[in-house]
Amino acid sequence: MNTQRSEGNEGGAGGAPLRGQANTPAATQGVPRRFRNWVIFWTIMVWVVLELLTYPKTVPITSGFSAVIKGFFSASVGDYPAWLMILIAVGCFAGGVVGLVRRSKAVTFNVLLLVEGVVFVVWGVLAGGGLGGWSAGVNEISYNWAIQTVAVVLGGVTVWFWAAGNPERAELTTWNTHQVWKLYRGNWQGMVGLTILVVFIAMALLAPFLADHGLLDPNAQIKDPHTGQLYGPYHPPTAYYYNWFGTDQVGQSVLAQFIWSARISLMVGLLAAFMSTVLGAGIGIAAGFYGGWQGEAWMRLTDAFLVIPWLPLAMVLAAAWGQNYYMIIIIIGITSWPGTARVVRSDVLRVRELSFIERAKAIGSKNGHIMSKHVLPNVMPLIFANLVLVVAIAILSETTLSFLGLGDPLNFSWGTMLHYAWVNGAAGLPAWWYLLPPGIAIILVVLAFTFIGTAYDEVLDPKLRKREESTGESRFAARGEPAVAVAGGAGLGGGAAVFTPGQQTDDAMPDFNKPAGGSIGRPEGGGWVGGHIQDDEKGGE
Amino acid sequence: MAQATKAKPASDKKPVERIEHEGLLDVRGLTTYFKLGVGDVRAVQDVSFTLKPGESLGLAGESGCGKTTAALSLLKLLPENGRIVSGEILFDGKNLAKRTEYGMSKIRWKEISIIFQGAMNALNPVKETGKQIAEPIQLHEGLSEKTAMVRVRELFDLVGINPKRVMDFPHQLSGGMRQRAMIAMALACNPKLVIGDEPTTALDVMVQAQILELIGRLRRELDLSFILISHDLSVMAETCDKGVVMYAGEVVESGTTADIFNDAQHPYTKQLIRSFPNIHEKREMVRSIKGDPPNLINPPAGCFFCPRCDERVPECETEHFGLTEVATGHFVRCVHARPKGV
Amino acid sequence: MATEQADRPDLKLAPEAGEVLFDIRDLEVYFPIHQGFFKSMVSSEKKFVRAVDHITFQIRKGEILALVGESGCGKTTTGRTLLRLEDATGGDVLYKGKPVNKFSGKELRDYRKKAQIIFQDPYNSINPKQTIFDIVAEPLEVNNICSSEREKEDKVITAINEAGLRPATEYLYRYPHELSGGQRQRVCIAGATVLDPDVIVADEPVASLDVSIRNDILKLMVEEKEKLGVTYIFITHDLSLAWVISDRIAVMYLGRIVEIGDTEEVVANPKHPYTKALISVIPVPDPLAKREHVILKGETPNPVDIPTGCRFHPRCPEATDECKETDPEDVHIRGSHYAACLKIT
Repeated sequence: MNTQRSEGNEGGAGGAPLRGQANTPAATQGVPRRFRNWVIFWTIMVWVVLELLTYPKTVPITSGFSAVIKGFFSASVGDYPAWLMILIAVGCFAGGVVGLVRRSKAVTFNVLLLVEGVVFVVWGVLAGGGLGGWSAGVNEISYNWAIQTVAVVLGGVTVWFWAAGNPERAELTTWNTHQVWKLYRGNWQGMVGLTILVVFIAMALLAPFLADHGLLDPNAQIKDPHTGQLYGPYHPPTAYYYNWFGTDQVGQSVLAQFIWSARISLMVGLLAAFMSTVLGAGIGIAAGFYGGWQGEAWMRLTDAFLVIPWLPLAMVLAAAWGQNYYMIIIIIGITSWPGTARVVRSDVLRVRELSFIERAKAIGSKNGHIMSKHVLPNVMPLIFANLVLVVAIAILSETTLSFLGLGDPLNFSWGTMLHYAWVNGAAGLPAWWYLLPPGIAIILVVLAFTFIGTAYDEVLDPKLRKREESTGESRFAARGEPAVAVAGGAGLGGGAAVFTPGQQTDDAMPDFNKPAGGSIGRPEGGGWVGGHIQDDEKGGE
Repeated sequence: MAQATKAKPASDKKPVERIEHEGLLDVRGLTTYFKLGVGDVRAVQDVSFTLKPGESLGLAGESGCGKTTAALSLLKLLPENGRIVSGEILFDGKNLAKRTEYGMSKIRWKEISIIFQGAMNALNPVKETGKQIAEPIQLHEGLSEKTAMVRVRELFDLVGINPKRVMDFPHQLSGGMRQRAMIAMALACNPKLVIGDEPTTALDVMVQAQILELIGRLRRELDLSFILISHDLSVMAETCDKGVVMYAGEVVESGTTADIFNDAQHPYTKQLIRSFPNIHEKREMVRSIKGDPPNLINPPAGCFFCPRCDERVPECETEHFGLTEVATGHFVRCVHARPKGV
Repeated sequence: MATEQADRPDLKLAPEAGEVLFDIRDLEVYFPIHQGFFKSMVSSEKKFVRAVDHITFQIRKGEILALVGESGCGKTTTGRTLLRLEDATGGDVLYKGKPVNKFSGKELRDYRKKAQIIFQDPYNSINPKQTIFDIVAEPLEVNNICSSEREKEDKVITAINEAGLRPATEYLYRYPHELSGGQRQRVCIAGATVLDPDVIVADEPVASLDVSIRNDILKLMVEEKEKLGVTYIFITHDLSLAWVISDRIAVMYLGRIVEIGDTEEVVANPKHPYTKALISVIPVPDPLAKREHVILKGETPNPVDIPTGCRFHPRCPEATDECKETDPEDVHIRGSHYAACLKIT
């Protein structure tokens, strides 16, 4: 890293460019240490998560340790939808081709992207059952595991080479995340929420290990291990693991259902929220950015969807389109976007007035470019905070639909559990062990997301920027380099070459009397808006 | 122009124990720190100045030099982590530095009022301007809104706004008028001292001239003392009797404006004066001052201005100088300061 | 040159002027006011904000022309109209002989590369989410100027170095909030010069900056003018700043140019009462300076209701009855100094 720095000090045009050696082995030393750890960590995490998601439901935990490990490493082909694999492949190809066509210096990175695309195509083809005339053979051959491993590791290597070509950006990425994390960590609500969420996500991922999938079959009633007798319907909880939450109306283990429900509830919630946010943010940005009749048109569309009562619409759609959880995701996605759209639009109205948008127009940018490169990144924090809350809403929506009987009958979610409990009279008995666990789980998960959303709101505040200035920490200090940048060359005076942290405060009063940064007339740092009085009419100036 | 009305209510001041002091305001060694996680920011360090009734004083310096903090310290309007560490603020015989919050509430607006920076933007856009100005009158003097509005009309007349416009909303008034309204608000309870924090910075040149003329007229008619905080030395030169130049929380030069401009001795003062163009003299490029102000959490040993100074000598890096009186009332904090005649 | 001047009596340039870059004739920029539904049915009279009300002047290549005036005078609108950020409702803006206000499509895009703008507020005029490299590279990317990444990098690094942020590589991956106001303004300047423009409109470029660093930015502008031959249109309310660096000054009031000429000439010898008043009230750092302050009464009127006759007459200390009826024409004083007042002999 130090070699890279001193090369930069030649300065001026024609000096050794910053990223000259993307293709040499020495380039890998250019990956900042923190980013390196990041890549390794996340590659392994992604692989582990994928394995847990695809763990075969047929290998029970009771068949012994070696069987479990074996199960961990083999899965039948076809656990991922083929279209998803092809989609990712297309994305990789696009990225690689664009990069190469633009004659970027990072050749290796783009080539790796193309290779990655090929891998995903192969995977997609195999997952789809093979091409005509050739198939993966019998399902015992565990292609999935091999391809998955190759794809994940290759992905990690690709990211690594990207970082080698852009060490500064890599450092920026990790540093930004680190700063956000530091701020987030200080917020107790956020940490509580995150802990709850981590627990539930772990439960969902480890479901195959925590509860035998076979117990979800219609005829798999649980037996008392001591007496060998069936527990029977509505048996209260006992010490036996699978009977901790008692039995349901046909004598099955409520605990097993509870654990496996976590997957559906969380996944439906997350995907539906994601879809809703993408739709809502897109429409919100378009509505906010385009004034005039276009913006109005989008807003009327939003209003129309807002006005339609959500539940009856969802019920009608579920009845018409079928009841499986993909449909539920789509239904929730297309009915809950107006809230996000309104919120995003109001923020876009604010961002639209900032000078840099006008500058973008002045340099000749097209509207699409401005919206994606300027407006979107500045409303992204709001979108993200909103997303977190939308997840909570989506989970509740899914629960509502399932409770009313519109959920996926083939899979368990907390909502369907409540549905069966209710329909079969558990409340009257009272079979509290059947009603309470799913209910409390939903409450906890929704609460967790709400906490995280609130905590993230605090993190988003431009305080984020102020803190680092007033505590004097800079990225380069974190790297172990002195906070005062080296003043190279004969720069002009006036602060051209020296960056001293902690200087950007007005009258040494760090931000307490100021509104959130970015408002015109009250800049965050030294200097102020002088000499230019407010003019209320357009065109008056 | 409006008739001057010196509308002071019948006197209601109880006689107070008076400490021996100079004039209306005597600030001695004011030191204010802000507590941050990483240390204390020494925003104001050992600042002293005096003010007689009817005088005007200019606090000048760049942003971050502590002038606003010093002014806010007078009214104890500091944020939670700010505190006056030492020094005395003798106002009309009372030491404000030691007063409690309750005691200060009697001083604020009644004896000392302040026009904040950007104050004309601080008006509530959904409430009539006149009613907003009536608020402090109602609060401090316990009057009803109707009675207070009578006084507001008088004040509007005093500052040059048509009294019929009391019920206008802030957006219906221009920038200059809003600033006059803020001045009216500051005068609402007949204070003895008004502090103006960059009162004309955001205004056009002509409007600035009008406001400065207004302030001058009010000072003469109401025998008002005025502290003008500004980064604009030219404004200070034209409107103030005395001046205090601050740098990095300290006073580097103080005295009458004639002393400061015609006999500037501190290098910072000289450089600062050169960075303002003088349209009546020979045309030349304004100068800049290289470098940045020092870190106020860990200030350097020695003179704070030393790294940017073009007249420095080796002692400047290690010794921190005190104020030298080079002429009556003219103080300079520099190694080169020599009293006249020595 | 002499024949040119004979043909074009409104040519406000000295005979030895350089190439004319902009020829602005009778420029009019009016903004309609929304009346409200019922009022617009009842009254047929349309109201306009007359931001720029028929101005004619030229800009010479390689000069710094200052547009000076208070708010509401139309200086910013003029600057923006020159760049097609606003559309003129009348008159012509000729850039090297071609009509700017009729450009569209490719012509407009090409023109945008030649004419850039620097805004007042360095805190808001660059995207806080982009790195400095992205900000300066964006004009190149948007206009597809560079055929390879390497060329783009070189141009960006050159522009950042020329703007005084040296070494450029130290700044490439910083975010705007890590830089001071002066440094940010330099980034804006780098972003404007990276395209090698012919003309840059600087809209109050130093108003938001500390006094002690204004000089650096101003000096940078003068250097760019001298080294790269960039023409600057310097919009400011501060006549003393305009006096420091500009070659010519145009004083504007309520949408008209009331006085225009070489800077030193206009400041030493102002002929229009408004200019005289402005110069008299500008504060100077000299407490003993004795001069009479001509403080005008009232404030600049609303550009919707422009007074009849000479638009300055309600506030003019030298106004007579004639001024209420006749709109003054430009009077040639000497050289390139013109003023629009009936009282000039």
